[in-house]
Amino acid sequence: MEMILSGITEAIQLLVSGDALVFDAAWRSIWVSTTAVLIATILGISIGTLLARRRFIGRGLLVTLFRGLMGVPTVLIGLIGYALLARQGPLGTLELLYTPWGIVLGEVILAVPIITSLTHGGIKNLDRRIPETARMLGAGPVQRWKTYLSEARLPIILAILTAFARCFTELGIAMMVGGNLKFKTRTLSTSTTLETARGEFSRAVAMSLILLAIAICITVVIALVSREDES
Amino acid sequence: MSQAIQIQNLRVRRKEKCICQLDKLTISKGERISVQGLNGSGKSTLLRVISGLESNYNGEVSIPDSFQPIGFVQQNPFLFRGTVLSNLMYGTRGRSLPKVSKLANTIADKLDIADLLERRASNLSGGERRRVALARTMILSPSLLLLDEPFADMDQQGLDATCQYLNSLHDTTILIATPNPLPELPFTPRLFTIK
Repeated sequence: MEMILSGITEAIQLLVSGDALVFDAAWRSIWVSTTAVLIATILGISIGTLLARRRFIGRGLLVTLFRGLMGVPTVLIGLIGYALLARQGPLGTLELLYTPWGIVLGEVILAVPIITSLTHGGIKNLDRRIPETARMLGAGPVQRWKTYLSEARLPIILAILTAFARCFTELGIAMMVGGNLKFKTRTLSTSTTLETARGEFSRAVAMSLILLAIAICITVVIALVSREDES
Repeated sequence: MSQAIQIQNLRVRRKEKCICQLDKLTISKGERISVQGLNGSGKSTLLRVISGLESNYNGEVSIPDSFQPIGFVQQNPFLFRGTVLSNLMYGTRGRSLPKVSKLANTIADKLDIADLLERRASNLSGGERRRVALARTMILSPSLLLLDEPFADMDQQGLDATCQYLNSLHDTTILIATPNPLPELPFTPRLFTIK
């Protein structure tokens, strides 16, 4: 207990003093996850809407596939990312292994199934009068698409926030594709693991506190969005 | 080519059950028709077929181009997220904004919903929702107007405004589906019974 309390005290001192290692990892975690989720949002919402509104052969299989991919362990995505980005891999020429953009790529693979599946569910469950009303009012494909997104706003926002929370806290991809290089690819989760292993408990706690703060922020945003939607 | 809507031997089936059966119905331009029948007799399905929302049917349905565009106000109309005004403007993309705004205000005045324009659509009563849905459809100036139980949930004031407004639509062909005899209208629609 004493170790935890002293760890928290020292962690707060590190945060107040602006410890370079802690803030470098925090900043990288934020921009890498945000970039990955932005890309995944564009892809996931497009694919999710398509799966919910268009009928084509293999649609059911794709829906099941994306649902299944939601639970894939991040170490497996990290492993696949490593195989793809390694020098001998199919994307080796991009030289993204052990770079932040390599982590972004891995996190996009992690986030797309989450956003796709939850968007698909949200739009699929919309009232059937919505597409009918839009059609009768002469809405074109783009306006109809905007209407679906507007009416399924809450599940889509929840999908994006869930994907962000998963990317921000994941370890496997950042470790295997990023390599945990100091001031280059180190993120909050990889740093926390490393500092704990090295016995730098207070620094690990400081990083965990930032992770916790972000997680709380996401929860608050979800609560606010839900409340506004209900009103 | 005939300038009337012709419906012959219409059959709509769902899971082996016939949910709408009609031998012959002709609707001339500018005509007002009250489609009456019991609950489940197929009134709403008939309107869905005419509107084009229902394409899975047997029989012959011929709708001349002169009846386009078709406006359809469903039994429980859906209002989109946003204000009443944003709902009224929904189908007007690409049209001159000042003209459309003026038209929206005129129709809202006639249907007695002008004071609701800035209200959130989700906060309206049943009767108000029906009048907003009617106004939203009428902004598109439909040649054929399909109304599914338009007077349900309406108070006397809303009913009077709606009846007066419908009476003023001289160039519009109107089909009103209702399970009960219509309230006293300023016009006398032709009665068509569906069984």
